[in-house]
Amino acid sequence: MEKGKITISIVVFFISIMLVSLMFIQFRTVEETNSLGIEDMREDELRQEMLLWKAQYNDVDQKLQANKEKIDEYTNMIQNNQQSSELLDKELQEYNMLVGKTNVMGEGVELTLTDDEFLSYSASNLISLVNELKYAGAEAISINGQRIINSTDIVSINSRYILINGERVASPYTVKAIGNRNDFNTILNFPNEGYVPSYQKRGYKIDMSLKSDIRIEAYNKEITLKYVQEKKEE
Amino acid sequence: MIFIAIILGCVIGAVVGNYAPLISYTYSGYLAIAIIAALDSVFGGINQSLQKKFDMAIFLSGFFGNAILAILLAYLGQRLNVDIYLVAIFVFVTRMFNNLAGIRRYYLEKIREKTHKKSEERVNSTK
Repeated sequence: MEKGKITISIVVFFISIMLVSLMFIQFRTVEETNSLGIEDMREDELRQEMLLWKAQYNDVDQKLQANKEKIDEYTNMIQNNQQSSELLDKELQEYNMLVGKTNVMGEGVELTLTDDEFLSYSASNLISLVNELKYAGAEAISINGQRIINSTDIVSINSRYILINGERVASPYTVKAIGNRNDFNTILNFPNEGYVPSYQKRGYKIDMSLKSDIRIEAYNKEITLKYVQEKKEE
Repeated sequence: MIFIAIILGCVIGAVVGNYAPLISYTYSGYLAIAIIAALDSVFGGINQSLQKKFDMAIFLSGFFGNAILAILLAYLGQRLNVDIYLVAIFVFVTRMFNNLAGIRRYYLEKIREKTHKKSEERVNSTK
């Protein structure tokens, strides 16, 4: 009887060791795997997690697309700005050329007017020449290096000197003009009535030569407007 | 003596279980079923011993046999994509409740007998 009890006790002892240790291992395993390791997750959990991530991915993807579109828009805008600024630059250059603030070159005509003992050129002679040149389509004119612009004055001081742009110039007057050579030729050399033949007939010394590259210096003073203001349309 | 063995075994088992290496999560399901089966055997053993019908061979074979069978069934269920382990748990837990009911009844009857005896004694002494 006693022997049987002892064997029972031993068996129960070992069995309880086994059972309890296994239970504790299981407890710890369950506890550890609660901390969301992906390789320990069940299939449905993984599926749910994947769906969640997919949704998030889609969300982020949409945002990315939106941002990309915005970036495209901005680059377009930048390009447009560049284009418009290039256009403005070009316009500014054109206006500068038109006003006479740049050195220019091109085909044209060069006239040399020389005073002699009896006949000297007056300011009005030069003004009418400039006028003729403008009529012939001159885009830039200079007399003895003085650029003729909108506000240029050509005034006689006495029979020897003429003021152009406030600067004194004297014979020989070298008049350069850029424009169509043929037009210059036909208009200035118009038989009897043209500027060159009519002055030559009256005994003035005048030479005219058509050239393929005439260089004209820029107007070298400030162009200021003190009294004129733009009238804004309302 | 048996109680001492059980308590000592539980304590040592707890210590060993705390320091034993973990098993991977995929196998922990099988281990859980094995534990349920073993617990069922233990309660069955207690019930039988209370009813003086305890048999060591039956207890041991039930303890290991049930555990192994439960693991095999769970494995088979997983291969077949049928949750057999749920049925195994259901059966074992039902039997556990039955055994617990037997234990409860045994002790309740014992207490009733004791109180009955005491009241009889009182009746006798007052006579």
